[in-house]
Amino acid sequence: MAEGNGTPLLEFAGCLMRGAESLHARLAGDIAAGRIDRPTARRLFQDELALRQRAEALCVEAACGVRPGLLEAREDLLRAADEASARIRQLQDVSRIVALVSDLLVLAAAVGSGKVDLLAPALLELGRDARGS
Amino acid sequence: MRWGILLLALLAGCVDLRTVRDFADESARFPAYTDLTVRFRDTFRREEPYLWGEALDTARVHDRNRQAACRDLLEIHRTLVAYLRSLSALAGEGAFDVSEGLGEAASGIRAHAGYGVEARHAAACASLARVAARRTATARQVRAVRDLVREADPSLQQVLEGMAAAVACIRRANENERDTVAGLLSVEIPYADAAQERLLAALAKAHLQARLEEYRAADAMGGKAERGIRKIQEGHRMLAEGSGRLSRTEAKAWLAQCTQDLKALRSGLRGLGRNSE
Repeated sequence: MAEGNGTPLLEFAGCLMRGAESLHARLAGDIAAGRIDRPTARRLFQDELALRQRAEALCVEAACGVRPGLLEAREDLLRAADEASARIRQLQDVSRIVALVSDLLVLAAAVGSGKVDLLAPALLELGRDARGS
Repeated sequence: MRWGILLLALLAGCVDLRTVRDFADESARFPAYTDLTVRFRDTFRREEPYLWGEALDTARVHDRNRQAACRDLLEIHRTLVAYLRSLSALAGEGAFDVSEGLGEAASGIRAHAGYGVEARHAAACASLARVAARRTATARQVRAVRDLVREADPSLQQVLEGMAAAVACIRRANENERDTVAGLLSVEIPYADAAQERLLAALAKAHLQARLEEYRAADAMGGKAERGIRKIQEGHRMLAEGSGRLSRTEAKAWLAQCTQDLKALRSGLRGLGRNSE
């Protein structure tokens, strides 16, 4: 985990969790040996729970601490996604220009053939693509 | 012959963007982060039956903060996916499609072959137009992809770094929740030894085993999420820093391997109790 994004909080949470584990190990030993009754076991477990809830709070706080930097970067990524869409539109514009160039090639071929009746469809196609762009 | 040489020369400059597209698609599909965040969001619903008194009140307060954090963490992932899908679209075949217009051009020439425009001239003319268009388009497309990844890389790295940090928090919380639930059951089960509580004790033991398995799966998912995030970071960084070498076989192979690793991680997530698609 990188610096400044909750590492100390998580480390502290880890300390509390280890403390809770120690409490639990003693509690489990007392229960197994029959040294404590059920209400006492439950009361002691509450102490363990309190430590675990504090550890949980630190984990949540660490997760919350990650957000500010992320939200800023998120705005930049959104802009990048928009930029990509704009670039796709530009590429599609190029596609239309290429279609026009190809129409001109057809027209040139028609002119080269010396046949007047070939010119009409070539001009029509050129006109259609020109309107499309 | 001259046409052939020209066509070959034009084709030689083409760069395959498929590896970029596959990488972006696979990265966008990687689900572990969202699954984990959703699971983290639902912590209180899972742990509530095991809490009482002051611990329950405290957990309720934490839950409000957790819900707020998860909303943003999920939103951030949606933005990341939107960016990756845009990158995929920009690197995609559909970003620049000249086939339709040029197909019409070619048929326009061929239809009148009998008027003196020879079929081979028409075919060569159409092929030249198609290759020239593709060459121009691909060059522009490669440049657009390269510019995009370079511009977006710092933000993307920051987002992924933050996501990795969030996953670390979630894994630690998962561990703590596991010990809370297992702790309560291990305190209660030994006292359920009376004859009338035997069934209850058996059910509690089975429940404990099932819950422990669930936490183990969640932790494994966390591990895969961290590895997946690192893979996406590495892949995108390579694209940003070395996208000028995209045509080189090693760069392509490297990125393809990154994509394969992400696929393998995603495949490994099946059966780990995924809670969302």
